[in-house]
Amino acid sequence: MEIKTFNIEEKLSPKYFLEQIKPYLKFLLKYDQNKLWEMDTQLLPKRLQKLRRNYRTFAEKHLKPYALEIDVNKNKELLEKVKIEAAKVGYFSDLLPSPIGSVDWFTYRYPFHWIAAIKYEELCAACGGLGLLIGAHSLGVAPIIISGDLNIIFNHLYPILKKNKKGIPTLMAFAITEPSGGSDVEDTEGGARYKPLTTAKRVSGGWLLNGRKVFISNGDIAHAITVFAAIENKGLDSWTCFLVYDGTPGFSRGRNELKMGQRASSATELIFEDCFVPDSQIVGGLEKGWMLNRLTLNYSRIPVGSIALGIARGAMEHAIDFAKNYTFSGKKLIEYQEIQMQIADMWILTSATRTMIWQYAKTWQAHQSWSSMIKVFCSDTAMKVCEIAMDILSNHSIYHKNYVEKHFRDARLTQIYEETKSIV
Amino acid sequence: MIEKYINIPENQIELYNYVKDYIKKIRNDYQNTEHVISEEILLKHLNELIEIGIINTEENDNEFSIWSYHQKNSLFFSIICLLELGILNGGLSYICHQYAISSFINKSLKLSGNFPSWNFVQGNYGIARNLLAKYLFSPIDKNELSALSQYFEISQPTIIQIPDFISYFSFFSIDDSNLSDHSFTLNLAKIHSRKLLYPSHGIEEIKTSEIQFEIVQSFNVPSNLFMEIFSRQILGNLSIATGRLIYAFLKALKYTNERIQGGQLIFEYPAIQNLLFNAESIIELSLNSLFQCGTYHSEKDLLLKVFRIKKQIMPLIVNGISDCLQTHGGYGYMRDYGIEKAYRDANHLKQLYGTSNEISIFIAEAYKNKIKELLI
Repeated sequence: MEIKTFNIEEKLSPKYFLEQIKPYLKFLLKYDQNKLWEMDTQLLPKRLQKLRRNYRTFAEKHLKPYALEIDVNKNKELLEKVKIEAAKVGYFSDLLPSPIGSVDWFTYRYPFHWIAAIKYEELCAACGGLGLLIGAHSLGVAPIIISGDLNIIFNHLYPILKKNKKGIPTLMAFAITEPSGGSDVEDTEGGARYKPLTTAKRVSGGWLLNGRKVFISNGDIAHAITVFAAIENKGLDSWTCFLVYDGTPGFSRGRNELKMGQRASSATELIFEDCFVPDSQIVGGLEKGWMLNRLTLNYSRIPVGSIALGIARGAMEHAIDFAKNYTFSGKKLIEYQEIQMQIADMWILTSATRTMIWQYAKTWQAHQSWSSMIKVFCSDTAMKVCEIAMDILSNHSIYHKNYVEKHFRDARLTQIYEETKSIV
Repeated sequence: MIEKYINIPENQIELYNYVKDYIKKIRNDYQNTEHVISEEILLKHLNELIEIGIINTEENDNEFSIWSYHQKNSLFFSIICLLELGILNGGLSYICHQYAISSFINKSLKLSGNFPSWNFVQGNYGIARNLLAKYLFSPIDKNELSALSQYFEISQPTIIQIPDFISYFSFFSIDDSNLSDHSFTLNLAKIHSRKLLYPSHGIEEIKTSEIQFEIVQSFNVPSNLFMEIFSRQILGNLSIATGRLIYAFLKALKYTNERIQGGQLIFEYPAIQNLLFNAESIIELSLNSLFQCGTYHSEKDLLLKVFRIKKQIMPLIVNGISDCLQTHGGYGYMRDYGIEKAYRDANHLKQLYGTSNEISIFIAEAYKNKIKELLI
């Protein structure tokens, strides 16, 4: 059956109908033919609207053109270029307001995980891996900010952020996962039974770290890492957050894992062999690591949800572009009712996800239940959307140049990191 | 491995053991590898499989070869072989599958000489879909054919997944000016140049290339044969995907019984048992459907059966592997563990020969013609 599309001037069109209604009702009813993305943007406060547009422009200009090449060959020159551009616009220093960070105070009245959610949706719509590369830095910075430890903030974080603001990318990473317990260290019940493998031994003037961390995003390029280690002979409740710099004696890097997706960001093994960390580099105090870890994850799972959303939206946009341009059996693919329904499904799923994220990100307090819920729902939805996108492209979807298979691979990781969905 | 799920018929057990022993012998080449097997190893094993007669060629065709022209037993046997090879590796099984399909075409058309070793249908699959959908439910008369002609698009493949060692390939086209039962044409093409592209989503062993080619010969193919080839392509892909699911399931079973999380083996968590149980249910379902097809002999109905099975089971297989991957946590996402490759291989095969929605579109179209009869 042919589907009739009404011209705006026709009597049956909603526009015509709306022109006939009383003026005071026009406040309540709207028929907007703007792009759907723009309509969503208008739901945000003015300052965040501007930010969202900036993020999109940046992603289109600096991430999207390099996404495929970096995904396959991990071209270091291109990666460096992206990092410099991101540092210049302040994406590595936007968790704190100026003069320490790069966010102005008017923007900072909105919760930073809301700003992060908007940011990572846009960046990951262009490339999930590059989005994660930028996001993993913020994850490394987050425990320092949450700790409120002024010594660390002024003496260690400030110089890092200052360099970034000057356009010299100086990245951080967050190291909790251990070879024998990825999800145990992110969950209370698992944590109670878990025997930590990375430990800190007291020595004069500081601590000696021993052990290994695995799958650390940005682990290979980070200048400083917030490492969580238990006090020797104690359990996970003694976890303490240490700030370890690149080049510290006793600290080395193991293998970089070959991942299925999000390849722009590495997953690196970190090795600590009698690595000395002075007392002044303990973040938030001794044995406060578990609390910092939990709070950081509560805040970061919301942006993880938006990473999933961004990847899904990217896949959807590519699928729509393909359907608009590909002719099949004499007419454009998008003219088939089945394809239109699938596009509508993708739009409904991504809109519902975005609504959920923005709803909970509006409050400063990040509840564990909310953030976990967001993470699971968004990552599952992202997979569904990517599957539909691949179905729309059919046998064209398997080719790398069409982007969609990359989004599919990228989306799968969001179901795994920051606790696998079955444990969350 | 498959004998755990099904009783192999007595007349095939000897050859089946032969295949099993061979796979056991080469298994080491596929273990402890990060992900992609080199074409050299694949070619070596392909030649060995031809030598022992599992893959048919002009010289050694027998009723037990994969997709042998003597189809009565080969349909069942092919499924078993491709399942076993699918458990081992996606690339090798896919190469064997395509190789055997080409030989099947060769034999069916009684062609001689150096016919290509690679068959390619999906490039102009759009052409065939409409016609197939019509064929499934009723014979097509001339009027219908002319009405259908407006939907045809003649396109030639430009990007294909093809190993370096193959320089000829074949693809189907259709004569839309004078549609009849003999409008299908099989084109034999020689590749002039190829530009290597980025890897495909799955089956990475076989390279994706942008090609330039020249058609050197064309053959008329009866529609029944075309449909049979089509059915066998889909059946083979389903078998390989199911093999990949069995591989993922066995990996997950092993991992969950070794890995301790939260003070106990992962396998002891009911949620994990549930995931594994789901995966095994899907294996059971898929094998039963495949073996039912394997004992079926009507080409026309076979295609209909295969379409239905593919539409429903392929997404289940991909989900089943996804569940097995999930039990590995972060390790499942890493290439070392091999399970993510199985996931991509299966998802890759799912996209070929019609995704669920495409099958729905065209079968629904065909139902429109059938609806009056159904109402009566």
